[in-house]
Amino acid sequence: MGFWDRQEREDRRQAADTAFQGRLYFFRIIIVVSISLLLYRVFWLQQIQGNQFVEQARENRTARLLLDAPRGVIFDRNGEPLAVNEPSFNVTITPAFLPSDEGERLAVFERLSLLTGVPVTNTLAQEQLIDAADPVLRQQYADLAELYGAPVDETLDNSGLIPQLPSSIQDVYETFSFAQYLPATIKSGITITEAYLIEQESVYLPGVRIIPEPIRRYPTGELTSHLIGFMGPLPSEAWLALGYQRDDRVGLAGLEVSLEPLLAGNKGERQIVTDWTGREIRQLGTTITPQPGYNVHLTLDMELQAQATEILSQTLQARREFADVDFFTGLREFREVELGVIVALDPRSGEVLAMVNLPAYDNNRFATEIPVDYYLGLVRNEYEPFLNHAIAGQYPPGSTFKVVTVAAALQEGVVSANRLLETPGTITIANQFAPNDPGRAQEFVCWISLPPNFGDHGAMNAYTGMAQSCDIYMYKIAGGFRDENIQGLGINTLGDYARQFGFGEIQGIELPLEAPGIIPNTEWKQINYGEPWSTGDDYNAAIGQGYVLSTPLQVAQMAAVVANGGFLYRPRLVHHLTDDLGNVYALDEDFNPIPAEDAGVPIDENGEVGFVPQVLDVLDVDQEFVDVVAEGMRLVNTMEGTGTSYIYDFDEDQERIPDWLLNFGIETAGKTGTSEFCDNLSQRKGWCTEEKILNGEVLPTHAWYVGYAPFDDPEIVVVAFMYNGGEGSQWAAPMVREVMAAYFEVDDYAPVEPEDDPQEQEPLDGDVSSN
Amino acid sequence: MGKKIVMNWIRQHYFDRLQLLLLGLAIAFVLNTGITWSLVSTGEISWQVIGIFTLWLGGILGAFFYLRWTRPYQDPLLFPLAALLMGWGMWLVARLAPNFMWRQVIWVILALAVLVVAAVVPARFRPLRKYPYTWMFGGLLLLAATLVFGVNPSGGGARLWLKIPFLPVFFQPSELLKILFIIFLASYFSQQESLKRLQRPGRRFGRLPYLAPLFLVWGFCVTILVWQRDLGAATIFFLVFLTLVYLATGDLQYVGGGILLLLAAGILAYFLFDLVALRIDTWINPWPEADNRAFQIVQSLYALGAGGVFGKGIGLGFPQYIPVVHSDFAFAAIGEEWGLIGTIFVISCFMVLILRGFRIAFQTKWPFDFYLAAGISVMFFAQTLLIMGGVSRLLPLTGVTLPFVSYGGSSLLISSLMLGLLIYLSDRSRREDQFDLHD
Repeated sequence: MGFWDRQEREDRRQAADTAFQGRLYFFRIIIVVSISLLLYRVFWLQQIQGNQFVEQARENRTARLLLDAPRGVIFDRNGEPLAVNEPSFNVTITPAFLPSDEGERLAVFERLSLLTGVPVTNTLAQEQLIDAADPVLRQQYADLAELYGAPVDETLDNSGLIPQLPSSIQDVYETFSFAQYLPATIKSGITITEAYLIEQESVYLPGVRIIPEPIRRYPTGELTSHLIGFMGPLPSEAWLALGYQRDDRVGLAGLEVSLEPLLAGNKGERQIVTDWTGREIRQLGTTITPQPGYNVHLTLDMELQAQATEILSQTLQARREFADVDFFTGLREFREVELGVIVALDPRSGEVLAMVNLPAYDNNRFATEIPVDYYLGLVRNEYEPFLNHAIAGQYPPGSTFKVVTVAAALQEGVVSANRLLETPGTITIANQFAPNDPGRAQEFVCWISLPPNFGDHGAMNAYTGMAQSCDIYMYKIAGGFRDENIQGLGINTLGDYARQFGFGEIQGIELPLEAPGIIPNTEWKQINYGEPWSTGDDYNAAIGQGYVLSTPLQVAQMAAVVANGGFLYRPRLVHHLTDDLGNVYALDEDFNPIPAEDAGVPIDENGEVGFVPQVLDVLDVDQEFVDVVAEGMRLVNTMEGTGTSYIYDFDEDQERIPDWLLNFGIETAGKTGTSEFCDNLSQRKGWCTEEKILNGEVLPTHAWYVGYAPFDDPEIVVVAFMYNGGEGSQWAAPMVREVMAAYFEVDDYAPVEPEDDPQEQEPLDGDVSSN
Repeated sequence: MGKKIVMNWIRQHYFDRLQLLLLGLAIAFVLNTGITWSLVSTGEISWQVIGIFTLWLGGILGAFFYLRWTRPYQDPLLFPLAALLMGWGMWLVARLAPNFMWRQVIWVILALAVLVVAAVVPARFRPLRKYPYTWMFGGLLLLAATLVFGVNPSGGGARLWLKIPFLPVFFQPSELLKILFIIFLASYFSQQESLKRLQRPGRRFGRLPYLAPLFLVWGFCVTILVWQRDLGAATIFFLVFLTLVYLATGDLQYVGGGILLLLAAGILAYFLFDLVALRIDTWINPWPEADNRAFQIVQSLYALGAGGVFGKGIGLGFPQYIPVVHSDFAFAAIGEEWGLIGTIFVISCFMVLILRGFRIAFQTKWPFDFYLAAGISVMFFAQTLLIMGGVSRLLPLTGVTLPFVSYGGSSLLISSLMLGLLIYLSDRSRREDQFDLHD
């Protein structure tokens, strides 16, 4: 008799308590009632309501179909289509509706494979590829994988040794088997005949469906690929949250991505009843019609774009065939010239009329799938064909930047426009920490003192300084010069003006990846280089070298500010939008469509839509000084200036008309630029080395030219840029001239012929430190 | 006195025959189902099906005869019911998730072994009664372990399982916690002191000691809900607790307060957890999101509707449209393939099982036995009501298994364990009746 037994005996009395029985009865009633409820519920579901459900559920089942909205079409300013939709068909499998038996499913896959040519599995092909790969390398990778305990198959797959195969049917099935009810694409872009063939066999192909899907076509292809961009599969799962479906395609580059929400429109929706293979039986409820995307009308002039592309491509070709001759050694050398940009703006509104980049790519090749070889070829190209260099490439603007220097100096009263400064071939500034040590003084040179000219400019004022692109003049007004009692602008003041001209800041064009460029200041150098700003840095910045970087678009912006008398307009590629009913919308800076009335966009009786420019900044320079700069730029294109090319060798170029378009009654203005560069690519290529810099040797140069016309009433600004192109006046200026000729439809613009026997190595337009 | 002996003898004799008859019917049903399934799926009677049936039959008969020998006074309905449900569930898994078929067969055999052990081994549950807190704490530790080591064998979803080392087997501690929880409560209530504490508000702390256990268990359930997102388990634990409190005290205030707390937790969870919000939303109106969030429940309703009165027959419906049909939605599959007849039959089976459980609780002589039998019955009741109500949209859906039928080793083992205990208790109380006669 332990304690527990006694306890139990006592407990027994309690258990006999009738109260327990009452509670148990009560609880039994609860059980019976709730189970009766359940029984009635089941009876109601299966008998009373059941017939109605059976109706809905017979052969199963409803599905919600999203109806794709037609994607917006992109036009140029004259209505020429640049991006359109074309019908196409996709073969898809829906995992849930495939036979659940593995053998039957494989039979379906095999039949489908015969019809589409997509392999069922990649195993065999993969093995063949492995066999074909370099056995030594393969062995190496396999050994390494074993050494590190990594799976050999995966390592070989990821090594890049074996080319990646397109997905097989089995792969697609396995990848998408978690999304049972969504069709997964096996092959896209099949013809309508193939589509019918597969539909005919549909009885034997449960779970296989043909889904019509428009694909994007770009009639202008390579000509506009940097602007229009291309589309591709969803880059990440995050897009699903935005209402996209797994097999949707979205913009990945250019306007296709920056205007994606506007172009895509809103999907419609339809509730349908399907049979067990997933084919539609009938519709439930009403259709929510899709809302088509906005049509986009660009400011781009496709004709000018095509002409500019041809001009750029021919000039690049001509440059490649043109040998540079070293002045001292006489060695002939061909330059590697691959990259060039032309941008044409309307200075009155900021409308982009043409924007050409080379090398380009064909965006039509990405219409259905990404061709791996082509894509990798582009990605590995050092000149980055995918990048829109006109807005994303950052290069030293060189002498084109002198426009800013002169305008700022005049406004700040550093010099008067007519004051003549001494401009010898070189000037020396004392080291600011050791002013009396001539050994540490720094020498700054003008391009004219270098071979083959070995000259100097004598004395220069603002007009001639611009026209002759005199470096010494710019050094003095930007950095100061004690001997002539000139208090220089200093970088911070210069920078303020540079920003008013569009440098150093994102200009807000409707394209992705726009770069801001760099306008340094004293603080910036301290942060990035840990060194104080020096007068030498001022000198370099004055001629658009040193730390100053800009995009070709920004250089065009600068010229536009001069041309229109001081307004920095936001550069625009989108003229207006229209919806499917023809209503006109303007696009605001946040990419929202604003109805034309609200945005104040005028529409005349012919339906011509006007354009409301957007002012980013107003130049804080008096009109008289702007006129001085403009006059300087006009002189560039006269016999006085650098823009006429070969100024140092008039004998050879007698026929050439100083202002190229003057005989058509169009006077032009412009500024050349030949900027030294030493970026990563040039270092990789060995064009610019530490050694060369120390020896004061010739560094590679970009060719720049920016001009506007007509001088009195500017309609167009054109900038041309050639990476590693050499002399701006020789290679960039002619391109601008041709584009302007094409724009004004005056001269029968002709491709530039390479010179047969160039006598001289082109001069450098930049500083070369002597120490 | 002599009359009672005779009555007992007749009852025993009659029960024996009844049990044999019922078992025979269960075997016939399972055999029939297996053969039909085999013919429908492969067009012949496959060796696989014969093998599975033989294994099941061997297990059933072995357990039956051993129990008849060791537990002659057992309730005659319980074992045949369990055998039937297990056999049915086995074919259902074979039909709905063929990959899991052999696993389920092995689980059924193991479950039968557990059932026999539970029905034969206990000797008045001394160790269980003596260390209630230890058991409960162990269970909670296991549960806490899932927070750290928890996995979900099917990939995504709530991580409620622990991987058993060296075996391709996963175990769900919340299942084991069910029985530990009942044992703990039974042990707690069977001690008079704790009951007194519950019934009389103390002078010093007012109603605090009275309410403390309620809040404690409520907190425990909420913890399960929050940590594990296991709506079903939390609800079941709380319902079992409320029922046992009511049975112990007869105080409806307790039940009312408890239900209010349950509702409060539910409302809070609705706003805090997407999963709970989804369950409630789709319960109130599943149709707007029929192919999206409410896909599962709508497909389940379709399946039930498609079954009609007589059902489509095994292998002829499309219950596999319902996600995870083989575990939580087994009832819907039965509804589609066996129709209203099948669903009423399953509900009746469980109703009989539960009511027999209460009858056994009635007949027990010891408080611990009473609470144990009642707790187990309530556990079965809550679980079957929640899942069958959930699948038929009578209640919001909670992810619990249908005992014995659904795929899932942990659930099957624990259900068998509980049934084995019921069988033991039924045998013990009747045996004690006999002892009383000889006293």
